[in-house]
Amino acid sequence: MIPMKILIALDESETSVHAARVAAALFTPWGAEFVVINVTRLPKPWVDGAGYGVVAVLPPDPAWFQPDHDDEVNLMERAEEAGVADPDAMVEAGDPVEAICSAANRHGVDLIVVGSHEKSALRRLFDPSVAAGIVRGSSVPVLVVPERHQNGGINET
Amino acid sequence: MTIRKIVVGADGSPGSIRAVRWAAARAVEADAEVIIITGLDINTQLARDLPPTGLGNWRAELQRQLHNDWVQPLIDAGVTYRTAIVEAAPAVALMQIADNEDADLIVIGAQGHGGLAGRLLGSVPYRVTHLAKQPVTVVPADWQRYDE
Repeated sequence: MIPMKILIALDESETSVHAARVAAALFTPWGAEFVVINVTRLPKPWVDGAGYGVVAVLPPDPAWFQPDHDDEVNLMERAEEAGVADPDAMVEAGDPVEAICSAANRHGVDLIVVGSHEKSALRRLFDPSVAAGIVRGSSVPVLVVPERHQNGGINET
Repeated sequence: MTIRKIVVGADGSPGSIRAVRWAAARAVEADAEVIIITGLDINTQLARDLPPTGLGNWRAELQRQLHNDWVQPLIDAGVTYRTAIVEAAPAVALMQIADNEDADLIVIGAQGHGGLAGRLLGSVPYRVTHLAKQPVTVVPADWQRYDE
């Protein structure tokens, strides 16, 4: 069987580091190859109407974003902390769901790994779940590690 | 951490058929056991357009499909499996069995786009990937790769 190529979405949250740890533990024994990706949301610039409040919000331009060497070093450190062996690292900017799904296609991965948080229905409207977006948008299987898994359910052997 | 027990949801949909195949491939790798389950509630009955012949007959029909058709990828892969029909909403059935069996992984098929209602109320994949205590793999309906 050909080993899997796995894309792990890894940000600063403990949930995502935990998801990476689970993926590494489950799939390293079968020779899986790992790619880790961190997507920075771009700030939305706005135009101030000199005392009349915000008059316009401009769409962010990914070209403004300069990936920092430090970002890649931090990403590699988090990957190492999670026990992900020898990954390729990618730092990108933009919409996390779009960036992760398109990276998965570009790299021809077999699995995307992401953590999830449960939110109230109201919060979901304004701050939609990245995990849910990836599940809907992905053309490859997605392994979601829910927040609840962190507090138990891991079987050490 | 290893995969010893996988719970997979089956309902005959294209996504669930891919999910069972994906689970079978993982079970072969890890020498794990698969528990294949079908949730039976009013929505399952409506979605599957079962004849209006009563719960007993629906149950028998689902049982027949589960045993004859949906388990086929597991038989082909030669993995150990058990089946169960649970009278609960599919998301609840999956999470309950996964907890009771102390499963290491849940596998389900992706569904179509749920729209606003799906986002607010939660589709099966949404609910399971946010509320389960186990890692959950969601397999797209048209997924095809080396392990099939």
